Amino acid sequence: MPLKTVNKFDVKYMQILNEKGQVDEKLMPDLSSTQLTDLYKAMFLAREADERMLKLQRQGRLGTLPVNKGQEAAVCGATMAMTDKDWMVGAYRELGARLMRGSKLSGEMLYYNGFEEGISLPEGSRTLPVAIVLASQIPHAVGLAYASRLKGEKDVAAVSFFGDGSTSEGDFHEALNFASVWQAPVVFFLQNNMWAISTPRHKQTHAKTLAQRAIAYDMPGIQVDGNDVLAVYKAVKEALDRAKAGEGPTLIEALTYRMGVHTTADDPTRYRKNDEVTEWELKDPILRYRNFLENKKLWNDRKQKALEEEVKKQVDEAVREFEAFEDTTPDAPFDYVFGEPDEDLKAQREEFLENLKKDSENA
Amino acid sequence: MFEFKLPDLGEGIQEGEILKWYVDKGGEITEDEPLVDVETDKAAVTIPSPRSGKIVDRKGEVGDMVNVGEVFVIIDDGSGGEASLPAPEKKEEAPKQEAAPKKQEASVSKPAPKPVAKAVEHADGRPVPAAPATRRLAREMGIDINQVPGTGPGGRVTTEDVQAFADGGAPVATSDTAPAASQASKAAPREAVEIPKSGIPLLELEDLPDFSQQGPVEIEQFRSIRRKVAKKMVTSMVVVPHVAHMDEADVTELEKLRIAEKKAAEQDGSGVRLTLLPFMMKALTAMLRKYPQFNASLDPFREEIIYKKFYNIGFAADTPRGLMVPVVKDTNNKSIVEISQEIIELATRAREGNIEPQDIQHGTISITNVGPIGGTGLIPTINYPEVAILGMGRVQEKPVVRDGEIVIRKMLPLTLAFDHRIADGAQAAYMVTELIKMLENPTKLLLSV
Amino acid sequence: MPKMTMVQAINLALHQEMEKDNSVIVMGEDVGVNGGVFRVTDGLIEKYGEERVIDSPLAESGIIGTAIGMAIGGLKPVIEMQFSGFSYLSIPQLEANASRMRNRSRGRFTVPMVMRMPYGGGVRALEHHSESKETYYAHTPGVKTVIPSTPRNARALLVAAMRDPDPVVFMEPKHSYRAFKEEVPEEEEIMPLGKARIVTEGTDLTVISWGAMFHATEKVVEQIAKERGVSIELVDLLTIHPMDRKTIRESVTKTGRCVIVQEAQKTLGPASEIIAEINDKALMYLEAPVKRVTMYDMMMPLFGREKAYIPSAGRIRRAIEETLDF
Repeated sequence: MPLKTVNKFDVKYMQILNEKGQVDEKLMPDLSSTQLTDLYKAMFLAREADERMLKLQRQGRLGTLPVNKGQEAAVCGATMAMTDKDWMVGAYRELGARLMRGSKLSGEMLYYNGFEEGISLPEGSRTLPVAIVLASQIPHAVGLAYASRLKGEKDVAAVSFFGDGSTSEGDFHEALNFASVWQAPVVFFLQNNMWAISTPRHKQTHAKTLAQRAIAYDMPGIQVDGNDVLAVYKAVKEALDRAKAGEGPTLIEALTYRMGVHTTADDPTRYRKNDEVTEWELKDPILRYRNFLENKKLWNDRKQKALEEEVKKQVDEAVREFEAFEDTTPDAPFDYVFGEPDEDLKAQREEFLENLKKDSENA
Repeated sequence: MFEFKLPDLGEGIQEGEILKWYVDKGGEITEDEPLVDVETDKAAVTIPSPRSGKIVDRKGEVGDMVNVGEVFVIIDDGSGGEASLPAPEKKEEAPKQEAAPKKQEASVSKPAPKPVAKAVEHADGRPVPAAPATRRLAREMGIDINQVPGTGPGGRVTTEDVQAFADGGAPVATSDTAPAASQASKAAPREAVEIPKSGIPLLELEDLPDFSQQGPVEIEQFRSIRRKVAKKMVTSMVVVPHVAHMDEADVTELEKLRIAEKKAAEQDGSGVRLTLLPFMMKALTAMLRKYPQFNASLDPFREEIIYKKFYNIGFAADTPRGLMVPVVKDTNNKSIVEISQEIIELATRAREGNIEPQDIQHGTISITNVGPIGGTGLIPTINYPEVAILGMGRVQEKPVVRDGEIVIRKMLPLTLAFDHRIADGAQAAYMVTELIKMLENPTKLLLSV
Repeated sequence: MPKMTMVQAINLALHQEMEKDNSVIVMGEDVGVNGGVFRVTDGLIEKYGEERVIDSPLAESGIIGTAIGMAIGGLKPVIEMQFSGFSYLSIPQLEANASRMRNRSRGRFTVPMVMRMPYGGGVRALEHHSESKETYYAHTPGVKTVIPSTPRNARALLVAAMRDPDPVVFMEPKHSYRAFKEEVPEEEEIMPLGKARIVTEGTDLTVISWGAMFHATEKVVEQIAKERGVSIELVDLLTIHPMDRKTIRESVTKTGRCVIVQEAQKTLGPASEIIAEINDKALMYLEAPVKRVTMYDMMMPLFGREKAYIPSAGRIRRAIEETLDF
């Protein structure tokens, strides 16, 4: 008997705004002028804040931190498509997204200066704190989506952010599978920035695309230009709409590039060529988007100058604010082990304070 | 002046090599502009200036190593004050040395540290073996445990050893070469002391005075039962460490039942005079089966505890010749009515002086009921070699609180005196509590025993 | 009061809590239509539907990972690890997220979740089905580890676990699942977590145990108390972490002697921590060294030899007698 084809697949790639700032009008998402310029401002703030934080670390004013440069379109575009009711379940390279969702920049700085108090999301925020263990956060998004649906919440979905390295972890596959079985309202937003510290994308998998991993779970998988904020927005928006309409999860692979170090403790010159970075600089997400806005007469040098001044002020203020932090509650970690501390933990807290006092007396 | 210390650029970096200076000494710099390139084990990075101002001084030429935390650039940022780079070599030490005298001053006011209590050196160079609780006891008694001869396994000093040592007077004179505990047990005999004839320390009996010199007296010979009782009581009080556990039972319901039964018996002429005692015997029998240590004897010479699997309950009877304790045998196999009949029979025979020796032998526990005569409570003496005795006081109507209300109930005072060598207070409390529960539910008592 | 097995008692707790609280959901492998491989979740799917009683894909990390999300999202997932031997795949999530979310988010997000699992030996099972690894869980701050011993306390503790604001690992001694019955009240009963149970009071010796070993221990204790007329205080630990140190302390300062019986292996088992606590707070009251009776430091052999490796009545008896006679 002849072989039959029982299923066929393909993986689409979407780009709306190319490196030169040219736009495919047919694919242009429905965004107002304000939304378009807001997106630019968010990306610009993310870039400036990131660069300043790197400097602060080099000056010994911040601890080890991940660097975001080059991925602003991916995280800001995705976040623009989300509402406050949607859950954001991030990893740790989404500074722009966190700021858009209400996190204070001074808080981000404080967090990377070694204090959990920096987790400063507004009350009721549906943004989970950073997840350092790769891929471990992805199933959380599936659970959150399931919970929202079971509780009868309308128009709610969860978006999980993760990187190309995470797609090799078991939790990635388990999360996609659970979401697929449950047809949960989740968007898996994969930032393929080509590098997992020093391990290049081709050493994670032999597969041509990461988006095609969706096929195994019978969910839509799409690859987008991750440095094209319009394509990212459109892909995430459509995925969210589908999720909220009860049509299940989606995997989006955003092709982007980690232009800087993995974290401040890393030196990429040990494992990748400078030419590669230079090549990607030409595809910078912020530059091309500014060209696009200027072409649309939504942006100009005067606005740019005003924004630069405003952002500098904002960042300076954040630095002042976080550096003014004084640790008046060194025993605060004891408050967050259990909802109600047990007797021994209370005793250990007393012991801790006593030791702190004695140590400071002897210092 | 701003002193810029080389930050930890990686995670746990200790030092960095200077690759390139962007500004020379005396040059001006703006905050966040490149200042210097430094290479560490992890990465080569450009360090931007943390302040704007003039570079007053800087340390290290290209190729030199700078330690993390070391001041290596001084910037005049207009904040005033003075600063200079530490001289080569003894950098960093300077501020620490300043702080040092303060520390010493502070320590002067503190009491000198207590020397660690040093165990006496023994032949094998170790302290004597002893359980912590024994060490604590010795410390509390002011005894150097290393002086106490150990009689436990492996020469261990036991609590008894400490106790005996304390009773035995002053410790052996401390010498630098005190023997180890294991040797102490075999050590030279101590000086002989005079032991009182009674064998009991401090107990010295003297001849009694002639009371007839003090006033008129009548003298009776101390004989027979009286003397037997006395011997038994002395033995019991000297040999048995007594403990008395007291409680009260609410016998209102039991009394109702008893009186009803009694009346019925009188009417049908069966002649059974039901008292509280048979009920108590039956309930106590049930308890003894559960708490065997109260139906036992201790043989201190053979070091054995004998648990008796038979239940013979003696009861104290007041007779013209004195206290007698007739025994109701095998109470576990008899009904309350049978026990009651036997008590009456034995009591009558005792009073009339017709009792047989076997009637007052082989008791395993006793009850003394002074209730019919009176008494709010009593501490009975154990009928040696038994190990427990239950005392019953007088049933009295008393105001008691039930469910938050004061009500009048018939209360029976109970005391269980027992031998502390083989039983403990908790078990007595458990047993008496359970016994009371039985007495308070007479129907259950009738059904269960 | 009806008499129930532990399986029935746990099932009762699940039924009543699901009835009472819509946010409680049950998830695990084969927990729905099949009612769980031990039938602990029997009848739940018929009553509460497959949205709340989820037959999950076969993926322990996925189960706990999605449950963490559900808990943050306002549900109270009660997940089942089919056997504790498979639960180790869930440890990365438990350690990296369930236990830490409260701290990481400064109390904004919490993970009120119960992870149930049958554990322990004595049921003639395959490899990986007989271990007693409570230490893995007890060593994780932010997670409570509970081990009931009887139908009644299993039910009452599970109710407490389901209402606890933090993740609770609930280890069920499968040897005791059907070994005996106990009266369990129909009406709600709850026992606080973190509290040991003094089963019998005593003055001469403290014996501490938990889970399936509790029963073997209780029998030996009863016999010895009767034979020798000694007064033994028997403590059922119930919660491994946070440990009821006060009860341990007070008991041992009273008795001066202690024996601990655990099914877990020796090195760094809960007994080690109990002894450390005694050392800290009760050392000067000790009349004898504290003894522990444990499984040996090795993987549990297949059931052909299992019995010889789990603490036996004889081993327990010898430890108690040696401690009493010391």
